[in-house]
Amino acid sequence: MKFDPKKNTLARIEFVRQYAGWVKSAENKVWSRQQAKLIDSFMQNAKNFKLTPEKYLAMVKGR
Amino acid sequence: MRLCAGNQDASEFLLDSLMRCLAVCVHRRWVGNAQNYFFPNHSAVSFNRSSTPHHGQNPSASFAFWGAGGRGRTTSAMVQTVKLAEIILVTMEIRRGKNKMSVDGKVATELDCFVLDCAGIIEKTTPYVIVSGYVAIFFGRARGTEDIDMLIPRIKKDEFMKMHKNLAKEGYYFLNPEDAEGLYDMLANDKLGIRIAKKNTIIPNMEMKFVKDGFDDFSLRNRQEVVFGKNRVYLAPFEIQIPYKIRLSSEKDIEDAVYLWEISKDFIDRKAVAAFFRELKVRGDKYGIEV
Repeated sequence: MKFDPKKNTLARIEFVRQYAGWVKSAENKVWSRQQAKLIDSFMQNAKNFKLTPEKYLAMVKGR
Repeated sequence: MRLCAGNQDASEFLLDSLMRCLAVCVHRRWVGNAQNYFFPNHSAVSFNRSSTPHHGQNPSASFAFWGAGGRGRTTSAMVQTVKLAEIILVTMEIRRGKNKMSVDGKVATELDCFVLDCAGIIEKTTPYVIVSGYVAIFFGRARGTEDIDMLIPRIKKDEFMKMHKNLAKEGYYFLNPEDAEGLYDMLANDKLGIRIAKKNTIIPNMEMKFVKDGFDDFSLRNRQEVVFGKNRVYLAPFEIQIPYKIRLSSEKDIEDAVYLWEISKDFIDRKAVAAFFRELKVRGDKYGIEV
């Protein structure tokens, strides 16, 4: 099977659209609680990166 | 999602909800004709906000008088609609006042806490606006970020020194190796961003820049005060964020733009969005952003 980047982009956008629809239909405390679990786990994970400020700045340079 | 404007009264709040509720019913094809469903005996009911003759009364009274056919009477259909609107008030409410929004009940993430704390210190010296990815994340986009983009006006060196001191006092440091003078030079002369994080951490960090063009200036001048709980943060308006994200054009940025559009399309100023699309020479229609 061949990877189709255009199809992939459209599928991702469709998911974003559906997800936004769910957020709009949910109470703030419901969607935000679920989102907090996801984001807080990203933040926890970020603490495990052994990066120095120098390495990080080199990584994001030109962004 | 419920976003509430802080400066609008309850009747307008309810009427807006009713109109949105009816629109949703039609959109979802729950009923063929929402007007006939809700107001079978009233031929002249309008769902336009301008047709709310008793604006300012309490919500139920305003609603009972809403529509020419049902003047002064509350029919079972009306009661049914009010009940439905009450459900909508609880489950789906997106509203915005001029430059002010509230997101009641939002649970703060660790990222939100970082932004609130850091921005709170910066705010003692200068106004600010947060732009780009964090705006989408704040309103529910399910993704993480390592940095938050903040714009501030071009402040004087002594004001920056004061901010630098305040941040250091509260346990923040700058990832860039430059001293305070060098950091100011980066901002003012090299037009570069400088990064602020909590001591002994790298992520998350706040990338701060001076406003550099008309788009940045618009974001700062028209920043939205967003209140949730006892917290307050200033975010760039949706109207510029969506076209700007499309212009950035990475997969992540386009998804952010689509997300913001879906969240805000019921209340966004479409003319302003269209104007920014023209200014930035980009189009949103191929992503379903039809203004």
